[in-house]
Amino acid sequence: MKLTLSNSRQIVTMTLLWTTALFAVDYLRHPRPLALLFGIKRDRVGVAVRSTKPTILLKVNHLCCSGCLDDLQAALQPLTWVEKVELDKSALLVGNQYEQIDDFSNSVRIEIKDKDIPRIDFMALDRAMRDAGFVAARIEFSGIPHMRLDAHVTHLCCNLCQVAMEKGVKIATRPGANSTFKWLDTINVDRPQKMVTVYTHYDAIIDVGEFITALNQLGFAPATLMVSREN
Amino acid sequence: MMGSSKRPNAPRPWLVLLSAVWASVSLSSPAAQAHERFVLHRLKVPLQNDFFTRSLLQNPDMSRIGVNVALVLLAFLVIWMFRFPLQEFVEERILGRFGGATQQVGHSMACFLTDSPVRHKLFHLAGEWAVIMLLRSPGLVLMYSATTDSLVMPSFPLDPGSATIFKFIQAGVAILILTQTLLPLAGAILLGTWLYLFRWGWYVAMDALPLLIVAALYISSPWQSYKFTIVRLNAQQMKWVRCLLGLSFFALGWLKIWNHDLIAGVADNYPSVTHDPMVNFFAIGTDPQYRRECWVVSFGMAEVLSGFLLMIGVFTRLWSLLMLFVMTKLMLIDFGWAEIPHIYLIGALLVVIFSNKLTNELSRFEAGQAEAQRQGDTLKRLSLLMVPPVVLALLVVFPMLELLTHSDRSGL
Repeated sequence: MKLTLSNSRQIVTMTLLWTTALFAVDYLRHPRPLALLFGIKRDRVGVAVRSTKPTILLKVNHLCCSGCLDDLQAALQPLTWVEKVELDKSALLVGNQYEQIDDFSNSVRIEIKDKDIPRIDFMALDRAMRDAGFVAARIEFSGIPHMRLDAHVTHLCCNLCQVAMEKGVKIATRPGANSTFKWLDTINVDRPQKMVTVYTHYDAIIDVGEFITALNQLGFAPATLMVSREN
Repeated sequence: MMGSSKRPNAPRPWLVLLSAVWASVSLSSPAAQAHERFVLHRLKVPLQNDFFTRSLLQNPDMSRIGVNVALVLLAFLVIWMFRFPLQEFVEERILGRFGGATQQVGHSMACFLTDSPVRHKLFHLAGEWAVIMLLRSPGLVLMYSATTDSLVMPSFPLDPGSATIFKFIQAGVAILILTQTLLPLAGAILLGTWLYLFRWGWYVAMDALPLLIVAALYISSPWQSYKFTIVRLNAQQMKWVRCLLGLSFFALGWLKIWNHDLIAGVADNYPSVTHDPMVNFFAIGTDPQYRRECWVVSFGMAEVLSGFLLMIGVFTRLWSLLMLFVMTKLMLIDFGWAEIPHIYLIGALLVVIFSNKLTNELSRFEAGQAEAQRQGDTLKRLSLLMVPPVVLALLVVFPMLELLTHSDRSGL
């Protein structure tokens, strides 16, 4: 039998056609600026600016005007550990290049004094927002190189509760699961103390909202969620 | 059964791959991000970054690792140049005292270590099986990637908007590969896909360099590939496998030193990977204060060393065997299922180990010294035996290591 081999022209043509086809499919399914498509510029949307001061960044999907912002600031005023609440302008500068016209989201930066870190309670923050008619799509905390989160879960009555918590968090944080949990290092469930402690990676931005959602999906609601420095 | 042979209208893999590399560089992004999704790689404790940015003259620990690696490289190159006299000595003076069976085993061992053809039925069978594994395993890898919402490797997660199409495409290409249908088309598709991977950033695309090994084999296969079971590779194909395999390790080794946090993060999460005797050997004589930093550099340099020796074809089987051990250990013991895409890399290493068509790039120096020996020119002979190894050992290690200390890592 006579064998036919390909030649350079065929291979180069097929290769380039294939690459073009892949980029075309990618673009048609997910239109975006060409610089982003070709990887010349990285997609920075949603990437928080790392803070050197303890900071909470709230991404609120509806925060359309100064009236909304005033209401949110008023809602957070009773939280005595909150030092300053302001619109996060860096998010406006960094992202949203191809934001849709009907996107009413904005980000709010909450600054906290070092001495007030032990008093931060993310559940109190979440409740205060919900009582005022807001909900945060993301609650990011940064500014402490190495920290841990302590969730006080009043319902951890038996060994099954503990197993459900441990296994559930393990599944939720597994690489490839829907949530990312890139910041999470290890987790410890202490049933007698009714405490779930999460240790974070060094210098990570913590998505506290992601953790609260994961606990809620497992059927647990923390009463408090505090943060402390780790050595 | 067939071995693919060269035909007048055969494609020139070097031309095709050169075009691919050129196109890739033109698409390359300045920002590099690691996307390793399934292998945990977050740093638990930060590295001392100044270690990586100090010039070799001001960094005795990095210099020491460089010297250690250069000495090992030099030793292997020198032994390589003297391998035939050494083999003759061992076979005649030592094995000569034993019986025929021992001599035969010894001869086969010596041939294996010196990359000479090994005449043994089982060796041939293993070689044929390895070729089948290398040519078909990428099909499984593509199927695996499709089920994990990624392209080719888990390092390249698919965008939800286009994921379904890309997953079906991968399944289609996998069927071409597994049934060995239109292999040149499959090769072009893999090349084209590799170019597309640059959209995740050039650094991340380098992770998929070994993909070019199978792409080169596919494009040099006949269009009627589905009618044959390809079980042998010709010398030219073997050279491509060896060089691309070596280039992959060589490039990834340097990139590990450049993007040091990534590999240090992996070590933080999987401490067992740090117990590698060769890597720890390269770090001998360094300051324990910089233990993790030295480990990163030693790890990268170990890959550079093995990659370079594979590229030039020096003790190819021995280094492939070592890499095979490391890769298998990483897959089965350290990382587990997350490393399953490396199965085709293991296939490539097996093909090299069991090939009887290995060549090397130092043969011109060997031919020169043989000519000098015939002419009785001892000085020329010795210089041809010694100068290339010394020059190579110095050039391979130090310039690039120094360059990396001045490199910009802000995009990482």
